[in-house]
Amino acid sequence: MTVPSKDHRSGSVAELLATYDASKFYDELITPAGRPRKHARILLRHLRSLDREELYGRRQAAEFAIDAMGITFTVYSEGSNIDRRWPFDIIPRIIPAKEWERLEEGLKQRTLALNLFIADIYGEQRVVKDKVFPAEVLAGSKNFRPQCVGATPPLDVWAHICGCDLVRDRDGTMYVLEDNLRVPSGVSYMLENRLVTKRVFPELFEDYAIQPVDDYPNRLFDMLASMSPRPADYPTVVVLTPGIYNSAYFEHSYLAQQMGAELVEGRDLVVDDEDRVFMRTIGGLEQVDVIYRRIDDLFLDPEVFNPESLLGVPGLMRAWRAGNVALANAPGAGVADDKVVYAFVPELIRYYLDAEPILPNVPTYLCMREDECKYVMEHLQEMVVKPANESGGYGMLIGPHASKTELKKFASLIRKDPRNYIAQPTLTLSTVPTLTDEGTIEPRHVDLRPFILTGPSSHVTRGGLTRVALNKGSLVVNSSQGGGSKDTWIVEDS
Amino acid sequence: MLLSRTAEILYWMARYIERADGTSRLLITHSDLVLDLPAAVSPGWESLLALPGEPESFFQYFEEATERNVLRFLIGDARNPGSVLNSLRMARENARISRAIVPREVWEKLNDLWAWARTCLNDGLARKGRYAYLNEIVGSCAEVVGYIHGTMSHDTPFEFVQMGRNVEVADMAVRILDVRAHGLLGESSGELRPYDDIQWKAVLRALASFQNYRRHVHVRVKGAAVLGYMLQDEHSPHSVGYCLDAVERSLRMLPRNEDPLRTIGHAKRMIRDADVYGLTRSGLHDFLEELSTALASLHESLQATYFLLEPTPWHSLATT
Repeated sequence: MTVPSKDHRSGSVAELLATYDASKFYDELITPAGRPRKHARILLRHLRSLDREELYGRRQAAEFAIDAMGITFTVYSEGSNIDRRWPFDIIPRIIPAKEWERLEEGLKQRTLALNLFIADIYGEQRVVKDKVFPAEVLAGSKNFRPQCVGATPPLDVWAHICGCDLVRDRDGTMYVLEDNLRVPSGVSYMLENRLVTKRVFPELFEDYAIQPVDDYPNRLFDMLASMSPRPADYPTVVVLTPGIYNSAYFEHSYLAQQMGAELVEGRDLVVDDEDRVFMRTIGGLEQVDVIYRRIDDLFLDPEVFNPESLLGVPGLMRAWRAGNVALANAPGAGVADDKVVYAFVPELIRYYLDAEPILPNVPTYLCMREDECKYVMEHLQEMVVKPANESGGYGMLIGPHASKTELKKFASLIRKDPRNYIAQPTLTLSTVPTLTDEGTIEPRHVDLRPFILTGPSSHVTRGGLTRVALNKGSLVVNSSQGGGSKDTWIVEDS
Repeated sequence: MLLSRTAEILYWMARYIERADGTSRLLITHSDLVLDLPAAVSPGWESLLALPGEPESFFQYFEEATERNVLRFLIGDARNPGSVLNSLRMARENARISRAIVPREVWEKLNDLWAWARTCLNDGLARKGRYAYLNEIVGSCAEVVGYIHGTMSHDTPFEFVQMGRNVEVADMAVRILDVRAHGLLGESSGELRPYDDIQWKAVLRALASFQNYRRHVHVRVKGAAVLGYMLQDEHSPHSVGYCLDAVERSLRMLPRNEDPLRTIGHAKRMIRDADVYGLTRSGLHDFLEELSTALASLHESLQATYFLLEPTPWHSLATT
């Protein structure tokens, strides 16, 4: 961080907050009139009691803690990888427990429906036969894996670990922005953010009843263990990583360590002619029961997918289909990541669960439908356009921020491949007070990624990873593009 | 159970640390020795090219084995895989990929050391700065080894670090004895020539054993006694015998150790049965060559047993 100049550090935080403008967007902590929201009163009272020098000291303490814990993320640049300090803002985001309960129910409902959908798609395809889900969408899905048709993973769970991105619009409504069912990342940062905040604001943990998040690794392990095809007290669970050059390697090694599972690479594993998976250890070959894989489908098994892949394990799909090893998430689960599928989720909830969706989708226009596409083309400048199968915020158009050339480029992209694009109205993401490099406190846009575990039962993290766009006015929260994060507190109503 | 890949990484990390340390130490003592000796007796620089790595390739790149060329090649030449700088780079690389197991300080120190050694390479190549440069590397390697011993859990992964250290130190000792002692003994059949004393001391110094030798061996520094000490002493951490005992101790802590133990038994018998007085008269080079081969077999046995696990036959290898 840049060090704020001396006069930026003198004075009180109360003065800083006095000029905070919460009238333009929905602010998570402060009302448009500038008063703290009910659940944020204690936090803001505490912040006001500090002077700026002290607030700056807390921020420094957080950075020391992050360095000491070695919390990093990896950036690719020009063929080399640099580990950067995880960008973190010390002012937490708070959600009242009452509101959270409803969100939790909604997330469970959603992932349940998505799991039923994936199982159906690789099974009977009732949803297509019943004309709820168009066959042509399935045919055009980049993440549909014909190799998975007919497979029956344990408990028929496909998406064991989901990360659903939630955003709050101007009127305070929480929407689901997207579902990540392939290899969602970020949960380690959620856990580490809490550890850092406990060091930085220990006194607030006495005043607030903040729901703990650190049971996640145990729950993850239990869920994974419950998938084991061999009945055993302590099945062999491993985390499969592409290796140290992957941007999420920190998380892979962190979760393995926290779960007491072995962190393996593809070359550590081998599949025998009876379709069992083993890892090579100094004691010999040891059979593996459950693989929490953090490698994309297409690199999992060179026998079935990309034959050039050196990251995967030849024969892994054989072993999985034979039921000798469990893979989380199951290969092919990403079919529901498709942003066109996303548009159908409310329908899918009604179809599979016979219930109304608890959480709304962002209104979504499918460019594959002629009338909707026409509307999108006419309102391009007001919309966010997304390709159906990208993640990490790549290949997007944010209409209101786009140049004429970009708008033109996207119009022609959509015309060429309408199936591959969806459009949504530009939401004004909610904000949270954030300490800037200049030493001021300003509103910055946030989203929220809770993680949902599905096994014999389902579990939602208490809160999740709040990502914040640190650049003024920016809506991009990805850490590779100027995003940071905040601790997220679910607090009991006092 | 420890992954084979992780075990191999730890083993090599330790080997490279020792290789950087051993080569630096040798270059310091050799530089000192050259200053002490008249040109007619001087061992020159070419003899150093028999060190680990691929020194044979030296003459592909250089015409003459001058001080400048040899030192450039052994300290900082990217084309020599055994150079000090390359060893540090490989030690760092291995520490980097095993960060979950090695203490954080080990990675940080190796990372700093490599960056520093690269930046200051030209100081190290200049006569004036050579001692300080190499000495810094020797000191830093000791610091890394200290962190490993002081903070890393002394369980299975640690045994692989230890085995890497001991195999490399033994290998280095055999090569240095071959390079120096062989030339030193020459045709003189035990008769002490002027400057022999200085040269034997240099051998002991290169092997970090001069002080130990002085305390434990009460004869004048001369051929057979030095040879006997460096091969057979049980307590000096740079003697071949000590290193083999240590590898054997590590192996006894590990599963499936039959084959490596057999290989080590062979090397130990060779040393135990060696007639050092006879060897100083004839056959030393052949003996050391054979010992070097025995150490290579030990490495290959470790590799085959623990690192390169082949997937067949299933029934005999599956342990669970």
